[in-house]
Amino acid sequence: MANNLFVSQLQNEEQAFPPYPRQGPSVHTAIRQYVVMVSIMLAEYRTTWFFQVFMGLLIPAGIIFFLKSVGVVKSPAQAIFLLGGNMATSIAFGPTNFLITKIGWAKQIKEFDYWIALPLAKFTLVFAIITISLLFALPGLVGIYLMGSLLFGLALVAHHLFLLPLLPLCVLPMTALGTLLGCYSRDGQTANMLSNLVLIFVGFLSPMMIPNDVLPLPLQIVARFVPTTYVADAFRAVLSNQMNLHFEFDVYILIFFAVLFLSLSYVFLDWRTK
Amino acid sequence: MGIVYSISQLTKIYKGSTTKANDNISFSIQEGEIFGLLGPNGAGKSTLINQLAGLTHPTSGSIHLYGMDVTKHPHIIPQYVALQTQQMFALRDLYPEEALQYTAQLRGCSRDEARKQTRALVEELGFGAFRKKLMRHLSGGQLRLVHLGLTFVGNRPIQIFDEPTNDLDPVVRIQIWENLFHLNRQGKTIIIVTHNVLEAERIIQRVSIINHGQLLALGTIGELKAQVDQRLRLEVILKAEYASVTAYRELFASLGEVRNLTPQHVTILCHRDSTKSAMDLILLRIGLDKLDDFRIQTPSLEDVYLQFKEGSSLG
Repeated sequence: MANNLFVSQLQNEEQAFPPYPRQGPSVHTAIRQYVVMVSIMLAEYRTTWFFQVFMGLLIPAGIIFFLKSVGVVKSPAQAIFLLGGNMATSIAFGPTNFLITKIGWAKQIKEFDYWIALPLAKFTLVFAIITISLLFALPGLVGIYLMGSLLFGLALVAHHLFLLPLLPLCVLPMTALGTLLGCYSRDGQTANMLSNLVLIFVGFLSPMMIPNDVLPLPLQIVARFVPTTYVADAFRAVLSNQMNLHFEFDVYILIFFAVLFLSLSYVFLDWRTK
Repeated sequence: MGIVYSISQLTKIYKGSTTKANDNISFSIQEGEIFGLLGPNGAGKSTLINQLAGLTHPTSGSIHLYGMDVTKHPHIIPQYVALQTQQMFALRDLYPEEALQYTAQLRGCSRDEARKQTRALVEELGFGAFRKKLMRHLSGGQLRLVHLGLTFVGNRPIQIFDEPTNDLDPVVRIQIWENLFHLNRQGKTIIIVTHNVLEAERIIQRVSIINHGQLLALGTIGELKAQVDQRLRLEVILKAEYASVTAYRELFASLGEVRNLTPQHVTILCHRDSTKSAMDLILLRIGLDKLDDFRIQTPSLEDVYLQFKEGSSLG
């Protein structure tokens, strides 16, 4: 074997010029790509949309039916408390959990390699994921609201329309949290585990169906740092037409959580292999 | 034609590992060439092209694309480079045409241009039989064709293919090589990772061989072939009833170094200047009617690959 293994040095060592100029970031491009991404993700839900909507409805609906059956609801105030909590639970059990597992498994099978190899900004992908989750949270929320109002004997009144602008604000921090937890999961199995922990915590260890002052002190403290607490509070405020300073505080906290979790998701979405 | 990729002292150590997946690799790729990357499983080929495509951060070293430092700015790479990975798990719930069209749009094509390119590729790659199946329901070969389409669409000037002909039947494989050659004639720079050395030899212009993360050889096919054993290979496949004839075995032994692949299939390594006389003797003493097949082969790219992989001589 010859000593020189590295033959054929390029005859022409000059640098080639790019065939077209590099495209800088632009709002128009970002919007166009966002629309395409949302179209892709909507199409991707064709085989899973039912499951996601169903999960967002099933457990909260089951809880509502159970509570109604055992006669726990003795007053409109209790009904509103439970309905608000169930609506928040619907978001956690639906989009939040779905995102944790979707992103965790996507990381495991290197699904993001496809996106990285395209001229996409990471925030476009994150926003598209969040947008679709917002869309798929709606059927569960509306379903729980209607079912709960019916079973608990709550009237459908005009001020409940304030739920409409509140819905995106409540869903956003929860879906961002789901994205963040999915990014934190190193693989699909970890994501499944986290998803189950979320189900247990939100369903049984937070002030969704249980008044905060009845919870053990450590859980009361933890509840202050979890967005579901404020989501449930905000829903309850609208349902009971008590949109006061407390409600305003809930809104600001939800905005803070949304910004915080979205920012962390953007940073921690494992874009390129280390 | 200038340099598109300039790779300098590239090293990659994955997080949590101490092994160098790529070890101090340096080379350049010229605009408009078909560049091959060969090496055994686990050699570091996919790691290298993942860095060229911006999927993985190098641990040290640099990559320049059209003179731009893409080690620090990997987001530049997708504007000029399309990558076909070995496997792809995205878009599983889309139809093939949707996947192509959306990918084209994400690469900057207008909707009409994306549709036009999609229609052309669907016809060219023969998606017709499975265009109404979701990607998750496609066979391995069908999925591979769609992946190739996803790389072609958008007309990137540099296209990287990692095992482009895996899972494909021979007819489709030939078509894909022709597609790649056709792309190159349009001026595209093609980088191919393949184990299918014999087929790739037909179109690869310059090749590098990687093993244990290191670049072992780099050059045109002719140059690398000149580095290996130059003896020609006479391949004789005897008919079954003549496989054990002693006289034939003795003849073969007198002509050169003999390798028996099977009792019927014999390989004789001859020096170039004695090849003609060897052929004449075989035809005279044995005759074509006693042979199933008779071939003469010059050193191939596969021989180069095997030699660098195993450190053995030609054959």
